[in-house]
Amino acid sequence: MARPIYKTESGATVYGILAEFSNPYTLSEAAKSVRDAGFRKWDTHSPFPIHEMEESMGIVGKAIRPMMFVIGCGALLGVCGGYLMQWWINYDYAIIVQGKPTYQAWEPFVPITFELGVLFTAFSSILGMLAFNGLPRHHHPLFSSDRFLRSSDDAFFLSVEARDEKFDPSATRRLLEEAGATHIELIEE
Amino acid sequence: MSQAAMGSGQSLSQVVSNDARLTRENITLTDQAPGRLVGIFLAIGAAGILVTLIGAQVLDVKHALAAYHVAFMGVLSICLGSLFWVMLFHILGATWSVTIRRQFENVMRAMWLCLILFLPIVILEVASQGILFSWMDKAYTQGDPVYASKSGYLNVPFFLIRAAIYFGLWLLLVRKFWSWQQEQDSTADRWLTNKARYTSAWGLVIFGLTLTFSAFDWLMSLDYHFFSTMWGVYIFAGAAYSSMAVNILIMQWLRHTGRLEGVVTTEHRHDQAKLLFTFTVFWAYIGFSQYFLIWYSNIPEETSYMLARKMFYPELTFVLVVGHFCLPFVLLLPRPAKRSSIWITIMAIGAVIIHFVDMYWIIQPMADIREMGEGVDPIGLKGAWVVAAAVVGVFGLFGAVVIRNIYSTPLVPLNDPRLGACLRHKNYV
Repeated sequence: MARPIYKTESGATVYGILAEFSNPYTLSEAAKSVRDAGFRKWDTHSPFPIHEMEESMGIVGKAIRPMMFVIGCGALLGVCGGYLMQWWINYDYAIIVQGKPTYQAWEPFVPITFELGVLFTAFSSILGMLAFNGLPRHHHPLFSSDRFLRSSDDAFFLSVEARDEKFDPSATRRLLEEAGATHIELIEE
Repeated sequence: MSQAAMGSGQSLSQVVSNDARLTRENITLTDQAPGRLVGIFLAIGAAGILVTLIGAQVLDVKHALAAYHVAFMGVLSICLGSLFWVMLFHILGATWSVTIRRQFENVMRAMWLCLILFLPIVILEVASQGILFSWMDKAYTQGDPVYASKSGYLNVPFFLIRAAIYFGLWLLLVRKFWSWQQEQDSTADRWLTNKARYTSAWGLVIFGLTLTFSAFDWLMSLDYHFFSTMWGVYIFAGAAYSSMAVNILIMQWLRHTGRLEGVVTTEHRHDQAKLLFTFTVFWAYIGFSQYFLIWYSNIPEETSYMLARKMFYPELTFVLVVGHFCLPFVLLLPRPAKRSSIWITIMAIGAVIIHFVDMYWIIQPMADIREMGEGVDPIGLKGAWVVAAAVVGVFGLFGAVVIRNIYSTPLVPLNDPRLGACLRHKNYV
């Protein structure tokens, strides 16, 4: 069944619905009711981390697993690449310092192996984080709402996308109103 | 319900929180007599010491004393590590650790036992002019330019003065923190938490200096030619690691007896496991850094330390590297491993054992240091049974004292301002 496409009165496509809450506690409670209603494509926005939010949104540990895989791969790449690089350099063009063995000794290779492991772990964390967040992107429909700008200052928001199968402009609005939203608006694509 | 359950207890009735989890049954062991358990530990301790004395007859006094030294330094570093954690939690204003802090305090209160355990060492060493501490032997150091340059620091009177200062400061800190805890338990004075925080600030500086210099005095000076500036940090890493492991074991035991239900949870254990993992890595980092600098600079006085261990104790070196770093690193890395009760118990037992192996690795080769150049083979692992006996013996005595401490007080700081926050503690990552 094709997903219905909602239009506003001006004829623009609806991106989703944005609800404002007065404090983190009502936002957390609202997130629970949205979670229990079975929505999948939705998010909460707050100026600061709210610790219980993962649980309220029902996403505990879900988002982190692909990240762990990416970071693990980055770490292994850094460690193996770092060691092999040094081994190859010392094998191919050995420089004897203080009469110490060159590529037969493992000791001198440890610091660079370790540091490259850390460096690549950091790289893969940053790049993986950007990739999974769909960043960089220049614009997001939510930014068309002036009220939403306050989500980085002193307001708490919950947005439900129209792409969600359960989305219905009036029913979802009612759900959010019952959850205690102080202000609700439709966001255009 | 909780008020009723607390009943007559003077201090328990003043618990600020009305939390249903803080019942008398849940947070005290005072209704039971500790007698049997303390007796078992004392018996184990006496048996261990007896076997060590037999070892002194079968092998020789020197190696038996080295074994005792291993046990003493292991237990001392567990005590000191506990003192460190208490001060760290205070200075950071940590909330998550409030309910586990009491058991660190119970371990650090055993400091007086460490002083008593230290006396035989110092008396034997001074009386016989250096059994392990070869620098005490005037005949041996005669004409040694290395000793001559260090004699301003390494001489018996100054050694004794320093030992007195270390123990004086440690006992003072333990006494301060513990008396405030007791007072807060009964008076609910919240200001005492601030006092503890102020004291932790200078206490940690004192701790860092005394731990470093006592490690120089009691471990590094066993081979007075050897020196390493990483030494104090290395000993600290082991102390923090082993004391966290001991605390995990005490917590597991208390949970096993049905206490602290909902007060110390998987969440707290998870954080403890994280710190155990941290100090596994930290120990390896410091240990390798020390080894690496010695390897690179290739100065005879320093390399002899590593060579003695690599050549004469290769098995021990291997066990130490694998058991103190490689295995715990892999086995504690996954989140489910840190949250598993049985798994973390096994890892903590392993951590305590490997900590004593670390001390064994440091101290035992030092016993043969004098004969090293004379073609005499070091004792190697032949003396391992005496070390095991000494460790079991001293650890038994230490365990008896700690268990008596645990039974004597409530299992959590009753009126800590952060107790409520600690009960709500949860890990989201």
